Amino acid sequence: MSAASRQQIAEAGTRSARSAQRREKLAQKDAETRERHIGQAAGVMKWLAILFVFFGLLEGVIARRAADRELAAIPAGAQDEDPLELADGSVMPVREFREQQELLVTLSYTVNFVLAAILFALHLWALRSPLPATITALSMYLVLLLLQILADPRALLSGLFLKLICLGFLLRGIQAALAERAARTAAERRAAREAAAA
Amino acid sequence: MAARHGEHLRGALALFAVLLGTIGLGGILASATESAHPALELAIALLDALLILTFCWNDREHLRPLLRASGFTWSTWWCAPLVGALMAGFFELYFGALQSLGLPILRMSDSYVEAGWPLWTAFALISLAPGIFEELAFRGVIQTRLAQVMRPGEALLVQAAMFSVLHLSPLIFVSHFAMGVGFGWLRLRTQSLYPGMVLHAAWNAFVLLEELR
Repeated sequence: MSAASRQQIAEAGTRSARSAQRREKLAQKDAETRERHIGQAAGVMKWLAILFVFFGLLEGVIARRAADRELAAIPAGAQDEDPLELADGSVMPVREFREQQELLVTLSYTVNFVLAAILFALHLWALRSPLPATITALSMYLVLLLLQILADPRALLSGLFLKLICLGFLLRGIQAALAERAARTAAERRAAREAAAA
Repeated sequence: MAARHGEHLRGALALFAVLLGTIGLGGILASATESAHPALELAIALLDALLILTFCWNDREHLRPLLRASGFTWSTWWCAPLVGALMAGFFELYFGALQSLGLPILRMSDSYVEAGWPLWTAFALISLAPGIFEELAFRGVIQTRLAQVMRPGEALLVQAAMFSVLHLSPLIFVSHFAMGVGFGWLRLRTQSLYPGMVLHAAWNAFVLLEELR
């Protein structure tokens, strides 16, 4: 083999090694970009879950105090089946009134904790597939806001700043998830092109 | 590419937000008038139908194949009865459990009976209209658009979640999520919207008949 041929083979080997290194660096950069986007998207749901746990505890305590006040207003010595007149003029047996108050306290804790559990499950889903998880979280949050407004229209203004922040974070999460999806698709196409070229 | 994905996603979320808006409007009007008169339900149903048909017209290229295929072929005829049977079993257990816990189950026909409307109107608004328009909206527009940006299985789960939360009753989130998954699977398996429409309308009619018995 001539020296020129040996040199050409050596140069080809070097170019091939360099392009393999470049591909590896690109793949690593793609993976880091995707990890960052996934972290952003999944992080939104983790923090929302923590918020719901916090507010669940707070609302539960407030509901407990409100229930205790209502129960304290029952006349002393009232029996379970005695009729009790409520503030809105309706009448209900004392036993039913007590059960209703306890149910309100239970629901205050339960609803928020169930929502926190769902958001945490969505966080775990987002670590694998952020886009569907963030869209589901946003849909759920919009419906919760609507339910709050329908129950009490003034609820829209209560904690408005926090609601807007949560919405902003969810939209940011969707943006990050879309970026991750685009990065993943681009990486897959690049890998397919390189495989075809090889 | 992110821009194209964003466009598909915006379309799906826009339809969801619009439907949420009309339901919210209906809820606020019902609270303001302190009644759930079927005339209000009719007005909201007509508005929803118009909005859904507008979205469908925008997406007609994607929806055409789903509306051309009947979905009832030799290889897929069994899908709708299977989903119906599974739904019946699941709902029996789920609503039985809710009733045993003493939780209230909303009756759909009460407002029609109280207002003295003929029964066929209840069937039209509770069975036929949702069977057609909810399928067009969720399994048609939303699932198709979501499938442009995510895997078909993921699109199925997300549209089912949207379908369930849009009914605005936490007690039926689970049951309606199961319905959304069933109808979404039918759409994927048969590549048609008709089996889902037929099953959805038949199911709602069955529930209505059970209430009226």
